[in-house]
Amino acid sequence: MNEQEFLHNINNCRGIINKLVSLYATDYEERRDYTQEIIYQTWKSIGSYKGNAKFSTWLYRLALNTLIVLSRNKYVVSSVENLTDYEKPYSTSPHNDAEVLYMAIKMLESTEKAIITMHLDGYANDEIADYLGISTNNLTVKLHRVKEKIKKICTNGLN
Amino acid sequence: MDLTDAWKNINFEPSAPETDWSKISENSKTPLSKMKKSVSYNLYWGIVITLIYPVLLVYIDEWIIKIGVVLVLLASVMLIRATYKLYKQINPVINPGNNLINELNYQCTIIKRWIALQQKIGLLTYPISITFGFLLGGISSSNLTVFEFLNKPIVLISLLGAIVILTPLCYLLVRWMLNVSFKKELLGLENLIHSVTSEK
Repeated sequence: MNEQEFLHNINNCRGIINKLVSLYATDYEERRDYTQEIIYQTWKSIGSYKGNAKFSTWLYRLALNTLIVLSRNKYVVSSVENLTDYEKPYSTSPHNDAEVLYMAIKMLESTEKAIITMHLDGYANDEIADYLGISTNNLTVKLHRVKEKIKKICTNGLN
Repeated sequence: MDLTDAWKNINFEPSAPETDWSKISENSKTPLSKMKKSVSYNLYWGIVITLIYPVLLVYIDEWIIKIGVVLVLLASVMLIRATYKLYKQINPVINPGNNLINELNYQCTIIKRWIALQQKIGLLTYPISITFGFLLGGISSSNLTVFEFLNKPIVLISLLGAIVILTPLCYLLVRWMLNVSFKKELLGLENLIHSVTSEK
């Protein structure tokens, strides 16, 4: 893949990058840094992309790998009050389910975010388990817990 | 709340930063990039220090001290080889074709093995370096041969004392330096592996 094709593919996948980065970054600077890191990592490893899967699928996994590792030590916010202004893209009091879910996911731990994001983007449990390197049973348990956690945050954490 | 419906309605685009292509540089901030950088510094300084030994061999007349220098030189070359191999093996990009845990485990294992090797080779070479450094200093300042210098009981006791005190000190110093360079990143990755694989 030459530079032109690479830029074309990256631009086509900006939506994926923006979505994943917005869930992991806590402020504008971090969002910019994470985006640039993902593009850099993609460029460095483009040789390993064999074309067996869609470029967007390959990039999705690479971006998640990068974000999980980059945000491994980050704090987990316990309440919406602890989110920075930048992390509240809508308003301090979310109006609809989409806003509530967005804030709830932002309050999860790094790997929990990856699990729920892949699940909501339509990946099957065995695909997510294979991506992470854990058993499907373990993944199913984790996914159930993440959903419970989101439910709990939605009912308690946002108040 | 229906999670799938809510998910579809999230707008991720507001305030997405523009990509500044000029700032996309080699300054990667991932833990593996940082550790690869630390390994490259270690390699650089290892080579610089090792290059001093052949120069020493030219200026040293005493054959017994030359043997010591050669031994330390061989150990250093062995470590440089292992460090270079590690440098080539660390991949800062986690290959999306493999699973996350396998990749992270592999990278953590090779780095920990190299740290252990550094410490083991150090434990063998510190007493040799201390002994021959002591002898080199002694014969240079006293103008005696090695055997004449070693004839004095006080010299033997001092040499033994230097080995007993300096070997653990060097070991602890190197361990501290390796901790400063790698421990934080390694621990972070190990905690991540644990959080992904844990069934609790």
